[in-house]
Order: sequence, then structure tokens, then C-alpha cells
Amino acid sequence: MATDPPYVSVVVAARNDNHGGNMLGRMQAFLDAWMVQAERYGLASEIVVVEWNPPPGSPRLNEALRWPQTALSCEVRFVEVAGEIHERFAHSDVIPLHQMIAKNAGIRRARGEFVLVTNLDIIFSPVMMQFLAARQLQQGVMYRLDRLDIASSLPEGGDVDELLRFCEGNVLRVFAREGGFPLDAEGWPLPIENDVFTRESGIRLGSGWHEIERSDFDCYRWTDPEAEFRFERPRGAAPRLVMDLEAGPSAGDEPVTLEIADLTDNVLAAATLRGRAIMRLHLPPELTSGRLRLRTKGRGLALIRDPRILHLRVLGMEWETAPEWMQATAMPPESKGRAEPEVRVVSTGERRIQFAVRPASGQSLRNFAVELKDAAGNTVLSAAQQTGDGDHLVTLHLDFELAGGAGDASPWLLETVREKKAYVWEGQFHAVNPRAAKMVKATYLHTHACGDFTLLARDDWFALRAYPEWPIWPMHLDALFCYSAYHAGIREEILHDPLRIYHIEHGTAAGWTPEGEKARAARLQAKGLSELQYPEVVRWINLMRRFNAPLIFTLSQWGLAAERLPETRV
Amino acid sequence: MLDRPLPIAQPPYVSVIAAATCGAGSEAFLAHWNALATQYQVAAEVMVVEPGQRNAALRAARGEFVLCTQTNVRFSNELFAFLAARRLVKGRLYRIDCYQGDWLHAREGSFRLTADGWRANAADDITPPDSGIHFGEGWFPPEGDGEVFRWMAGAGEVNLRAGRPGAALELELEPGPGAGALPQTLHVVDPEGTMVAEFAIAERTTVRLWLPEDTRAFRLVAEDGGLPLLDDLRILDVRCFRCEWARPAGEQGTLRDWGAMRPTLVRQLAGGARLRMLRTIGWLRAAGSNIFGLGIEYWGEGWHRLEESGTEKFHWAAGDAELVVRIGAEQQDLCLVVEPGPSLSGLPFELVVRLEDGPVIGAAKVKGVTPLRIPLPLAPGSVAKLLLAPDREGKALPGDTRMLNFRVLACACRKSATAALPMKLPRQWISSVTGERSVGIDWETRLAGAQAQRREIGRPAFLHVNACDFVLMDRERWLDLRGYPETGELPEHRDALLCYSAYFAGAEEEVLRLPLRMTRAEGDYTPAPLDEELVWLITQMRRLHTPVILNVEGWDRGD
Repeated sequence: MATDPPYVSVVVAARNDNHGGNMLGRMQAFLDAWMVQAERYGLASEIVVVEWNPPPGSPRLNEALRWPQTALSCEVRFVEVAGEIHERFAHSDVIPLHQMIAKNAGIRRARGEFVLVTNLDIIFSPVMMQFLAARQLQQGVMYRLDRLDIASSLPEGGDVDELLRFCEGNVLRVFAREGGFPLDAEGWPLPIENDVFTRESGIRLGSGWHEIERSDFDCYRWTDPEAEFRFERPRGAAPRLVMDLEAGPSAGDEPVTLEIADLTDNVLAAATLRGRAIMRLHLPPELTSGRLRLRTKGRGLALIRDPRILHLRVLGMEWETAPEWMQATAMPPESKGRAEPEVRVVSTGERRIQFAVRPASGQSLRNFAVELKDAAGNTVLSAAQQTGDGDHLVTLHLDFELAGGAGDASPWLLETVREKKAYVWEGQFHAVNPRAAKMVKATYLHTHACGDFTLLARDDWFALRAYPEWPIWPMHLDALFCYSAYHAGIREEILHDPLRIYHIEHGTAAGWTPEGEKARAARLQAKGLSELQYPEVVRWINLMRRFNAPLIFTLSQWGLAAERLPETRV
Repeated sequence: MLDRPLPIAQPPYVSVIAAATCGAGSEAFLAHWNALATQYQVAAEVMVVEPGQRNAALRAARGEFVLCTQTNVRFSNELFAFLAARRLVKGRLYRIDCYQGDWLHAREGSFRLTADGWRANAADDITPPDSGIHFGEGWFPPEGDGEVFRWMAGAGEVNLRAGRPGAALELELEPGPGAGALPQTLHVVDPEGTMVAEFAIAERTTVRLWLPEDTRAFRLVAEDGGLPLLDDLRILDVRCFRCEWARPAGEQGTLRDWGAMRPTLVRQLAGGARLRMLRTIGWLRAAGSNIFGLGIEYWGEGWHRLEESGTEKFHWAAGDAELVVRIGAEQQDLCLVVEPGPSLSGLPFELVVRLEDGPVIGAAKVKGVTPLRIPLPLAPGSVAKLLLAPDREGKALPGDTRMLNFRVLACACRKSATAALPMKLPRQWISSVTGERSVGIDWETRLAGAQAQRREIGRPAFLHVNACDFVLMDRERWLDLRGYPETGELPEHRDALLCYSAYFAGAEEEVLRLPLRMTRAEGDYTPAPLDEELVWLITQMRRLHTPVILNVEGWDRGD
């Protein structure tokens, strides 16, 4: 049993109603994994289970679950909220568990220096447990991370280590800041059909890429300030990646700075982008595979209808093959209504192109003009000369003067090939918030699956009075809390791999899964139940950005503070 | 913080936090407060603070109740007496109207006041500026780009100047989005709180309301109203396009030509009623351009439109022909020239006259063209709604949807020949629906997509957040709300957010009434209306029944 005051309190809400299927099995896995690992890594913790509105006729959770034979340091406290209290809330007849109010009751009674609010079917990775045990958490920080969904077929009868191995090997999808993505065995989001690049391109997207969006004319992906991708350049492809890019509305009327960086944060190439353009990334010819980060910096203007800060969208990525003018041995004549001279490239060499010009039968050349254009189509050099009859063998000798020493020249280059007509964001879905210039702290938080892991100091939870206690379907309420915390001055810190949480897949009765979304909405509608729609969440966020202040929806008696709730300790 | 507490021997009952609007005003405010607080023995502490420091003062306040105000306001003696009486209730949000020069900042908006303190009519209003009709509590200011209208919420107070004895008001109204199921019932309530008339409106409806002679005010009450909009915090139960004094239907017209009466007289002669020819002649001749003469206020249901046949003018009547009469200074008879109609096969009948919802007050036989004089047992100065009907049911006519029981060729009230003993009638408030046309806005269709949220909201409060220079609550409530929102919004917007948060934190709003009064120093002050985002925010507070607090623990960083 616990001896020291807990460093971390883990708060979950539950009732023994087999919600989502195999509920007790999933909860057992959660409890076993936490308690055993807390013991193993010396993490002083407690688990506060708020047992809300226990179903009559079912055993209490502490009776239905198995407990270790030997005492462990992690104390499990079951705080019961009786049905009579539940019935005081609106919609009590159709929502048997008011999850956020229940969690608030747990947070209110938590004793840990830090309070981690999660769900009963979350398994924490060993590295995560070690991280918590290291007592490096800080007040004033809201810890968040991606959620990894694992298969529901948990190993039966095995120990915690077997369970953890199962988790590691059975990841189905990730809920990252940018969205939910099915993962391959290596943990990379699976490629999808009709992406902004072809399957043959050898490109795979990592973190920082939002889900693909499709309009009538385009498909595209928005990027985070840092978007990772890996590549394996196909045979025959030039070491040049051509990208169709567009500065997003958050850039306003200023250009976006683009950087290509490696995994050690070395900036390899940089450019600015205004509007939409075809840009070409030159890579070292010898580099046929690798991982790169595409970074963007801009004004960070908030939008009206989308909480994301959108600086860049990628409409296409493809490897450049050798351009036709380099490949062709003959250039097709352009017809101007009369016979054109035949132009044939005879040879190309280092800094030399030789081609033949043969006037059509019965004609002769009067003059000969050469024009040199840069990649953007600007004429940088032109020359013209009178000439005479017959075939001409033209040899262009090229000489370049490179900036910098020859040894320092970088093979990396990000250049604009040509500009394209830019999208007008004004008046569209992604229009900039008219108050954006004054929203000094607008940011896009990682709120996906935040009900499964939100970790703050207990004092911070109390200062914010925890979650909104609206007796509606709880969707998005946890996200609102995250934004409140942020706008109260609490910094978001996203914990990265290998710090992991695994969520055990279950039926559609609870939690958010892509497959369950439609069924869930239909159920709510049938029950006449209210929920917070996503556009409404965005409006709440806009208000917090406007006020640069949190929005707190609870009074000092939040978390059923005035209630004396019976507690059972295991 | 400029702290100048009044010396008090006991713990303060009220802490007064006055934001200094200018340095010079602070001293004057303190002098005002201290003098009256001493006079009325209000146990209070006063903190004059720089603008933006109210929250710091709130945390330091010791009073059981805390009043947040400004140094540029003054309170009436009665308000001090009220505070001294220690009748404040915890869990209430006390607010008060703000008087400023000849302006009043009330819940419904800001209004210029007349010299005698009524809300003045605008140049472009639903009543002429000099009509003597003034709209009080419950009426919003006039609006509308083309056609002007005013919204009314709950109970709309109508004040009337003297000098219109027994006059009728005509109101053109339509149900607003706040109305429940249509038709919407509107009650007329006298100053004593008695419901004196009612009518129902489903369309844009013109209603005429005859008032007792000495009426100075009444309230129009929308029953079953109070439903919300999602983009407007106001409760808009009724939209009124016009409210003005009505002209009576019957007037002293020009005398009719002798020749014009000839066909009627010929028929009367043929019917044998020779003896009363002179009477008929006199009445027809006086009927002028219409058939209705003096004393006839209104003809309504049961009458068909004016018809002309040759030189004759008449109205056909079906059954229960509605007639509102006004009795002048002397007792009157109802004088009519009547003729049986085809629905009664032109046969003789008895015309029965009764009071609406009351007894029969007269009857007379009609045979052919007949001049009738029916004594009206109504006291001088009274107004009554009469129903005229034949003593038997008429028959429908082939090829005509109308029921043509009888026709009236002249109708007026004349000095009584018999001086019947007047009946004792209840205090008279008579209403009649005088016209209907389709509504300007079909709210049911317009709000179809918003019904789910409207149901969640229910019947919300529209709080008095106009010029919140007086916000008084118990100290615990202030602390629970963490004081004023600490954000860079306009002060009036922060005040509004605070009031709504207080309300949704359980504080019931109570607006203090005259003679409790707050006066603000004159100057330019027009509170900015809430913008769309803030309206949405408060709408969500209504929907989710939740306060919204913008301050974290440790609040007092400046509001």
C-alpha cells in the first residue's frame, strides 16, 4: 500500500456496464500494466477510479476486478457517485456516465502532485512509466502525446511484459495532432490512394502532415510547422523533387519561409514562397534515399473556421525526370504557318551544347537569335546575329561563375520554377479571422484523443477548475479544456516516441474511432441528445484566442466538491 | 488603489468599489457617498480604484455585499435608505437603470427622455412624435430601414398623455420569434394588474383598443412568449409597426342630396311606413359619404363592405354585426335605417341589439325600409361593442357566398329621446381585430434549423447589461466568478459577460426601481453593442446553462 504521497494521480471514470465490450478485461489490463510498472520503476502513484452511477445488479468494479496477491505501492481508490447524484443532472436518462463531471470528481480528490486524466483502456509504455518516475514533470506544462490504437485481442493469461510486447507489435493506428492514421509495421502512416504523390515516387509521409483534403479542383495536404517525409528515389528520376506548393492563409500577405532540414536539424535548403508555385528541390545526386523535414514559418494568423495554423499546403510532389530539352535529339518545329527550319541537337558535353539548324527546302536563314532564360522563365541573356544560307552547326559554349568557393557549394537548392495563380482565401472556408492580427497566442494544440492523456500539475487543474461540467455528450469537452489551459498560460508539451500510450481497440459504444463516428452521431440524434459540434469548438477556441484568456465553465464547487462521496481503497 | 474608507464601527455590509473615471470625480464621489451613507447609516467601505483595478479591490473587499460602480455616478437618497435597510439577498444580481442628462440607459436600450421623464418617441417611430403615446419598459427602440417597427418583449408598457378621453388606439402587430405556438395571445393589462382585454394574432394584425377615459397606461403582455433567437440576445415576442390614435368610422359628413335618397324613400313608401318618412329622410341625409355617422366608432365582423347601387349606399350585414359605439356627453339612441335582405327572403324580422358577451339591450321590428331608434342604456362617456343580429337565421343564397340578412343605409348615435336608465357596465376596455395580412417574417421557417438549440435554451433571461455602472452581488458570488473578466475587451462587453456569468452561476437578476435611482454625469456615452462573437458566447451560456469565467486563480491582474 501507498506510503509516500503520490507523485502522479491517475484519474479514470467508469461504471461496470461493459461499455464498449470486454470492459473489465480492458480495465484489468490498464490496472495491471500501471500497477506493475509503477512498482517496477518506483513511481509513487495512485489510481482514482470514479465509479459513476453504478448499475444496479452488477458488482462494484473493485469486486469485479482481480487484484495482485502481494501489496503494491500504487493505491487504487474507488470513489463512488451514486445514482441519486447522477439523476440530478440533465440527460441522466440517456447518458449513464457523465464522463467529464466524473473525471472532475476524481481530479478534485486526487492527492498527487500531478494528475494524469486518462481512460480505463490505456496502457502506458515502459519508457513512459520511467519518464513519469523520473519526476521531471513541471508545473505550468500540459503534457500530451499521440495515442496508439492496438488490437483488442489481448493475450490471455500472460503477464504484463507479454501485454506490453503485444502492444508494441499490434499497433493499428495513431491519433496524432494532425489526425488519425493507420500505421504500417514500421509505424509510418499507410499510403493512401490518390495522394499528392504517386505510390511509385517512393515518398512516404511521417509526422506533421494533415489528412488529405480534396476540393473540386485539387487534392492537397496541409503541413504542420515541421513535416517529415522519407524517400527512395526511383531509378531514372533526377535528384530533383518538384513540389506544387501554396502558402496558406495563415501567412496573410507575407511570404512563407520554407526550409528543408535533415533529422539533426541542419537546414539544407531554404526559400520563400508567396502564393502558389512550382518549386524544385535539388538533392545531391548520390543521395537516393533519406528522411527530410519540410519546415515552414509564417505570420501564424488564426482562421475563422479552422483552428489550425495553415502556412503551407502541398498539392503535388514528384521526382523530376531529365527535361525533354535535355533528352530529345530533335526538337519539334513550332509551326508559325510556314515551314520552320529543322533543329537537331547533335551533341551535348560539359558546358557545351551543339545543334544543327537546317532551313526548309528552298529557304535560307536571315538571322539567328539565342535567348537564355532562367528556371522561372526570365530572359537573362539574348543575342541575335545576321546569318547566311545553308545548314548551320551551332555550338553553345557555356561558362558559369558560381558564388562561393567550389568546395563549399551545396548540392541542395530549393528554387522556384514558376509561379501559379494563387488561391484567394478571403471569403472561403479557410479565411483568416478578422481579429487574427491581435491574436497573439493562437496555436493549434494536440487535442486528438486528449481524453486519454492529459497531464498537468494538480494546482493547475485546480486553477482551471478542470473540465466543463456540461451534462451533454462529452465529445470535445476535453479539447476545450486543453485550449483553456493553454490560454491560461500553460505550455503544451508533446511527448514523443518512445513515450507511448496504447489504447485498446473496442466496439463503437465509446470513444472516437473513424468507423464508429457515424453510428455514434445517429445514436445521439435518436436520443435527442446534445453535443458540441466541431464548428462550435472552433468558435470557443476563437474566443479564447480573441480574449487571450481561458474560458472556465465551472464554479468553485466543481468536481462535486460539496458531496461526500464514499471511497473504497484497494 | 485610492482607498478612502468611511470610518465604520462595524464590519461593512457593503463594499463599494468605484472605478475612478477622472481624478477630480473621485473626491466628489467620496463626498457624496460619505454624506449620504452617514445620513442613512449605511455600513459600507468605499474603495476608489483606478480603472482596471476593480478585481484587486474585489479581493480586498470585506463587505457582505460588493457594489461595483464608477465615481461619475450619484445615487438617490432612497437607494441609500434601501442599502441601509439591509434587505439585500445573497444569490441576487442587483442592477439599476442609468439616468444621464435627458437620457435613460435601460435594459431595452438607451432612450432620450421627455421633460416629464417618459421615453421620447423618435422622429421616425411607430407613432407620431407628438401622439402622446410613449413606450416604456418592454419596448426596444425603433428600428428598420424602410418600414419602422419596434420589438416588444414580455410586457410592453404603454404610457398615454391626458387629453384623449375614450379614444381608441390602433396597433399593427405581428408575432415575433419569441412567440410560442401561434396564434399568439396578447393580453391588455391595466395598471392595477388586471387583464382587461385579450386578442390573438397569427398574422400581421391590426387591433383597435378602446380605452376608458382616464387611462394613462397599460401593458401589452405576450403570453407564452420568451423564446430565444440564436443571433440576438433580446427576446422578441411581438413586432409592432404602428401604434396611433384611431379615427372613428362615423363622422359628421356632408349632407346627402335629396335625389340620392329617392330610391330608398320610394321603397319605404311602398312598404307602407309612411309615418316615419321624415325620420328616414333626416338620417339618410346626415349619413353623408358613408352610412355611419357620429357615435359609430367602428364596424367590424358581420358587416360586408360598402356597396353602392345607383345613388344608394349601404352595408349588407350577416349575423352578429359588430358595432362599436361611443356615447357622448348625453345618453344616446342607436338610429338606423334598415331593410330586410334576401337571406331573410325580404320578410319582416326583429333586429336584436346586444352587448358583446352581455345582455340584449334593445330590439325593433324591421319591415321593409325601416328607420329604427333603439335606446342605448349606456352611461354618457362610455364605449361599448354591440352585436346586431336578426331574430332568426338567414338562408344561404344561390350563387353568393355571403349571408345577406339585412342592409343598413344609415347608422349613427343620436341624443336619446327616451332617456333610458343607464346600465352599470364594467370598466370598459374593448378590443377588436380590424385587419390581417401576411406576416413579414415567417419565423417558423426561418428558425427551422435552430430549433434544437432553441429547445435547449428554453426561455432565457435577457439581462439588463446596458450601462453596468451598478453591479451589486454578495461577495462570495464575486469571488466565485473571479471578478471581472481580465481581457482587453471593451468595458461594457466585460460587464455584460460578467452579468451573464453571474446569472448562470445562479444569481437571479433584480433591477431596482424608482425611486431608487442612479444618475451618471452628463457626457458622451453610447455603450457599444455586443458583437456577433459575444452574442454567440452568451447564447452558448444560455444553451449550456453555464457561466464563463476568463480568469485563472490568482486573478486580479487588471480587468
